[in-house]
Amino acid sequence: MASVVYFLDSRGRPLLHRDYKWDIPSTAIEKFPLLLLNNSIGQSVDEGSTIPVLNDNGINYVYLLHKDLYILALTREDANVFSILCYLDSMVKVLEGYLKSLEEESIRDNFSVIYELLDEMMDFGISQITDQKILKEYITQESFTLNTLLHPSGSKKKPGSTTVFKQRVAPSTVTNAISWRSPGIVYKKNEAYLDVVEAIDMLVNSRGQLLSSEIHGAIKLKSFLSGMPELILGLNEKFMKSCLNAVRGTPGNVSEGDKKSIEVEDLKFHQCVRLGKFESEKMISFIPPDGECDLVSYRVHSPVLKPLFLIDYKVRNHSNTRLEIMLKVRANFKSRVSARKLEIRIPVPRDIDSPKYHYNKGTLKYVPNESVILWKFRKIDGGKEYVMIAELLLPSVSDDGELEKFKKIPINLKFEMQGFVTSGLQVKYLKIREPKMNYQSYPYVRYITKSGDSYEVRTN
Amino acid sequence: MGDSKLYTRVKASDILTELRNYEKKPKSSVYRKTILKKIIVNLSLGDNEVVMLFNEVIKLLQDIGPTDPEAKQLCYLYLTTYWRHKPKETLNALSFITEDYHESSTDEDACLALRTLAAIQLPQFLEELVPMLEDALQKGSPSVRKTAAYCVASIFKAEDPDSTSSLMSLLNDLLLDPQLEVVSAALSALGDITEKSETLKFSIDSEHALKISQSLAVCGEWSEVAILNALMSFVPQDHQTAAHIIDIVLPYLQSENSSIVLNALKVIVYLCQYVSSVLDVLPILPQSISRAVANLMLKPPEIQFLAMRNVILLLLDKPALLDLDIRMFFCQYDDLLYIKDTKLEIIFLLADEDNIEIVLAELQEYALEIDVQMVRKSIRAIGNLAVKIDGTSEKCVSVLADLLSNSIPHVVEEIAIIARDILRKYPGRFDHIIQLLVDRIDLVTEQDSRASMIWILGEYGSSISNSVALLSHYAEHFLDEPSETQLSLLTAIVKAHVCQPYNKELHQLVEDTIRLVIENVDNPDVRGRGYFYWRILSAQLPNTIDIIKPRLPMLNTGADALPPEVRQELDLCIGTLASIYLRPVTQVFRHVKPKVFADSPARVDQDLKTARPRTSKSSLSRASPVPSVLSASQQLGSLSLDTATTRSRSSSLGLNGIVKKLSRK
Repeated sequence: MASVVYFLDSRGRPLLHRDYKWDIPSTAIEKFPLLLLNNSIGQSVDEGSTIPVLNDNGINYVYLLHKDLYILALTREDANVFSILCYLDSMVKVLEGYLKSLEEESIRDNFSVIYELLDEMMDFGISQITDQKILKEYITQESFTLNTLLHPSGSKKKPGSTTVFKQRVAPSTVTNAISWRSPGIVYKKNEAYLDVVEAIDMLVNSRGQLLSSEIHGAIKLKSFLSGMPELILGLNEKFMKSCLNAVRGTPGNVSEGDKKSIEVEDLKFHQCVRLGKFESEKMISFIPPDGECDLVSYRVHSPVLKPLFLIDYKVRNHSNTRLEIMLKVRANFKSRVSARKLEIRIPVPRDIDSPKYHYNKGTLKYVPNESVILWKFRKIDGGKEYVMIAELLLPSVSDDGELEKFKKIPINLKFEMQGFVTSGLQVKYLKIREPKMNYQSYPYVRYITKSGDSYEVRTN
Repeated sequence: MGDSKLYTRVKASDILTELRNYEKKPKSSVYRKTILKKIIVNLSLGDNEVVMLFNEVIKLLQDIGPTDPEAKQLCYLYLTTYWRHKPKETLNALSFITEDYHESSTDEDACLALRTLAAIQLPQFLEELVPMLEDALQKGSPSVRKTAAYCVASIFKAEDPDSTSSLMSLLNDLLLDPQLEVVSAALSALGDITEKSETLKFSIDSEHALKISQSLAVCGEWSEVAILNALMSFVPQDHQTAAHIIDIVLPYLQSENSSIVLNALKVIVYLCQYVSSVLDVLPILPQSISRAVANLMLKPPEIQFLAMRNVILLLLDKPALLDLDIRMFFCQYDDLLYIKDTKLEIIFLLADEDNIEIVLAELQEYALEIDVQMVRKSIRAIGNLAVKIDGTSEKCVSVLADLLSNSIPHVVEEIAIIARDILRKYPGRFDHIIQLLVDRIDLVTEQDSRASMIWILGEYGSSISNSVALLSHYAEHFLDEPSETQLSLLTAIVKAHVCQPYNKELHQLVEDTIRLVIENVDNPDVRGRGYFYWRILSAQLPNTIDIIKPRLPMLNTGADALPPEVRQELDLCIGTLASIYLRPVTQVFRHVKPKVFADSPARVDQDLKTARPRTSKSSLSRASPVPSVLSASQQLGSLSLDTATTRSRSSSLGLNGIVKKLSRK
C-alpha cells in the first residue's frame, strides 16, 4: 500500500503531499528527479523514457505523468503496485472533476480542498472512495477553478474565499449496499436517454488492406429519474446471444456461412447491473446512478469490417524544395448514409511554407503545431469521391530525417455517423419502474458511429 | 480568489510577527484561516522552518475549536507532520483531540480525530487511543468502525504486540461485521498486521473464503480489491472449493477497474495450483485471461506497462494459461519508449514457428524506423529469435541480410553484434552473411560492433578473402584504440595467424602487433596478454591452436531460466512490485516475509509451462457445446501433444536472457 502521495511540478519540486504511514523520510523525494534521469532508457529524459516504477534504497517510486505534473506514490513494502497506480489514476480523475483541470496553478489555488479530498480517498495507504459523485456529497469546500480567474464572473459571491460550512454528514451511500445512488432524488419530468455509441479503431495499409480493426462500443445512459427506479434494458436477440457467449467464455457456435454474425469480445457492465440476473435470466436489470453513466461497454471484433473510407495517397518530392501531396478519399458506404464532421489529418514535414491547395470539396487548412494539413468536410455522402492536391515549399534548412519521418506517421481520420451502429446492436426496449412512485417516464434512444482515437491509414 | 496568492514561501518569523500584530485586534476566523493556510503552504513546499510555530498552531487549533472542520483539518495535518520534532508540545493538543472525538457530532469528525491520534505515536497518545478504539470497534457507526480498523493496523508494533492485543480480537470480530466495507477494511488491516508480525498468521478457512468471495458482487470497487487480496491467504483443502472460487472470481477479470482485474488474476493463478488439471476443469481460463489482458492494453501507458510485466511473468512460467494474439503487442508509432521496449520483449517471448512470418514483418518495420534505439532493439530481437528457435533461423537471417543491403550505419552496426551469436550457434550455415558485413565494414564505427567485427575476422578469417588486409587496416591505428578494442584486435590477429600459419603477411602482422603491444602500450592487461601470446607462439607447442582458438562451447539458450522456487514465489506476486522487478521478494524488500505456497492435500504440481496452441475460436466447443470434462480433456490432450515438443524450448528461455539481451543498448 502507498505510504505517501506526492504532487510534483515538471521540475520535480514538491507542490503538495499527503503522508499516510510516516515511514519514509522526507529526503526520499529529493532523489526522484535524479532517479528519473538515471533510469531513462532513452538518450534524454523525454516523456516516456523512464518506466513508471523505480526502486532506490528500499523505497519504491510509482509515478504517472499528468500534463506537466508528476504524481507519485512511495512505498517500502512489496505493495500491490497495480492498486496504487490505479488509485493514482482515479485520483487524477476525481481532482480533474473538482478543479476542471489539474495543473500546477489549480493545485495552488485549491490546496486545502485537495488535502481534504486526499483524506477521504485514501486511509492508511488503502484506497477508499474514488467515486466523484459520492465524494461531492460531503466534501463541502468549494473549489476554485482556473476559468473563473481568467474571466471573472459577475457574481458577488467569490468561491473559495467565503466558504459556508454545512454540517459535514457522510451520506449513507458510503457504507450502503447501493453505493452509487442516494435515496430521495426527485425530478419533475422523468426522462432517460440511451446513447449507443460505437467508436471504430482501424489501421489500413497503403494498399487499402485492413491490418487491424476494433469496435469499442458503449451504451451510455443519462437518466433523470426520481426515487429508486428499477430499469430493464432489452437488446436484440443476436447481440444478446453473443454477449452471453462473451461472458461465459464459450465461443459462439457460428456457422461458417453467416458472415454477418457479431462477435462480442468482452463485455463490461457498470457496477449497478445485476450480473447474476444477466447470466441466469438473460436480463440487463439495474438501479441506475443519477445522471450519466456508461451502462455497458463492449468490444466487437469483426474481421469482415470494410474500411469506411478509401484513401489514395501520393507524394512527390521536387528536389527537396517542394512537395506535392495528392490525396483521394472515397466514402465507402451506401449512398443514403452520410458521415458528418469528417476530418482528415495529412502529416507534412515540420515548418513548411506557403502551402497551395487544389480541391473540390470541404476546407483545407495547415495546422503548424500538429504538422498536418487538415481537410474538413461538414458532410460527405456515401459513394462520393473527392481529391485534393497540396503544394508545399520546404524550409531551406531541413534535415533529411525530418523528410523521412513525416511519411511514417499515418493519416488520421475523424468522423461521425448517426442513425446506425456497425455491430448491429439494437435496443428493443427500456422499461422503467419505480415501485413506490409509479410515475410516467420517457426513454429516448440514439445510435452513433464515430471514429476511435486511431482510425488510421498508413502511407507507405 | 483562489489561494494561489498565499502559495509562496514565507519566513516563519514573518508569520510570527503577523500573528503577534493581529493578536491585539479582534480575532476573525477568516484571518486565522489565512494564517493557517500560509503555514500549511510552507509545509507543502517542504520548508520545515514552520516547525517553530508549533505552539502557535496549537493555540490556533484551540481558538478555532471544533466548529470549523476545514481549519481543524489543516491543524491536524500540521500536528501529524511535525509531532516528532516537538513531542512535549504535542501533548498539549491531546486533550483537545480526545474531546473532539467524544463530542463529535458526525462520523467524519470522529474518524478524523481517531486518525490523527493514531498517527501521533507517543505513549501518552496510545494510552488514550486504545480504549477509544475498543469503544469505536464495538459501538461505532460503520465508517467509524472502518477507520478504527485501519488505526489498529497503524499503531500495531511487531516488537510490542501486547499493547494492542485487546484490539486484535475485536478486529477479528469485525470480519463477521454485517457491513461489507467494514469487513474489507478489517481484512486489509489484518493483512498488514500479519505481514509485520513474526508470530501472527492470517488464514481463512473454506467457509469464510466462499462467503467473502460471494460478497464481491455487492461491495464497492476498492473493497473488492481488499477482498481479492485477502483470498490469497486462503489455503484450499480440496480441488472443488478452489475451482469453485476461481469460478466466482472469473467475471472480475472483466472489471472496469484495472486493479480489480489484476488482483482477480492473481487469485486465479494462485488457486490454479490447487486444482488438478485445471485447464480441463476450466477450459475457458486462457481465453478469459487473455481477454482481460487485451482490455488492459487499452488503458493509460503506465497501466499497460504494469500489465505487460505481469504478462511476461506468466509467459515465463505458465504460458498455458494464456492464449494471446501477438498482434495486440505490435507497437504504435506514438507509444512511449518504455512501452515499445516491453512490447518487444513480449513479442520475442510469443514468437514461434507458426507466427514467425508476421513477427518478422513487424520487426523489420521497426528496424526501418527513425528512432535509433528502437531500430537496434528490434534487430537484436530478430537475432535472438534466430538463436532461440532453430526453425526460424533461416527466415531471420534472410531478413537481416535484407536489412544489411540498405547500408544504414546503425543497422549494420547492430547486425554485426548479433551476427556473432548467430554464427556461433549455427556454424557454417550462414557464412554468406559474413561477406555482406565485411563489404560494409567501413560503416562500423561503434566500439561494441567493431569488437564483434574483429572477432568475426579472427574466427572466420580463413573464409574471408581480404581478412588480412582488413585486420592490418585496423591494426594501423592500434595505439589510438581503447584498450578493449586493443585486446580483441590482438586476440583476433593471433587467432587468424594460428589458423593460417603460412601466410607471410599475417606472420608479419602478428610480429609487429605483439612488438607494438609489448613496447608501447601502457595498459598492463593488454601488455600482459601480449607477453602471453608471445611466449606461447615462441614455445611452438604442438597444441597451440587448441589453446588460442579452442572449440567454442555451444551457445546455451535455455540455461538461464528462472529457478523454480523464484518462479513460484513470483506467481504469488502478480500485480505487486516484485512482478515489475521480476526478482524474488526478499531480494528487493528487506523486511518482507518470503512468500511460499502453503501445502495442502489439494496442492498439485502441474505443468502449465507448455503453451497450448492457439485454438481457433470454434474448434473447441463446436464439437461439444457443453463439454463433459472427459471429452474436453481428451481433445485438449491430443491437441497439445503435437506442438509440445516444439514449444517447450521456446518457452524455457529465461528471464535473465531476455532482459539482458534486449536491454543491452
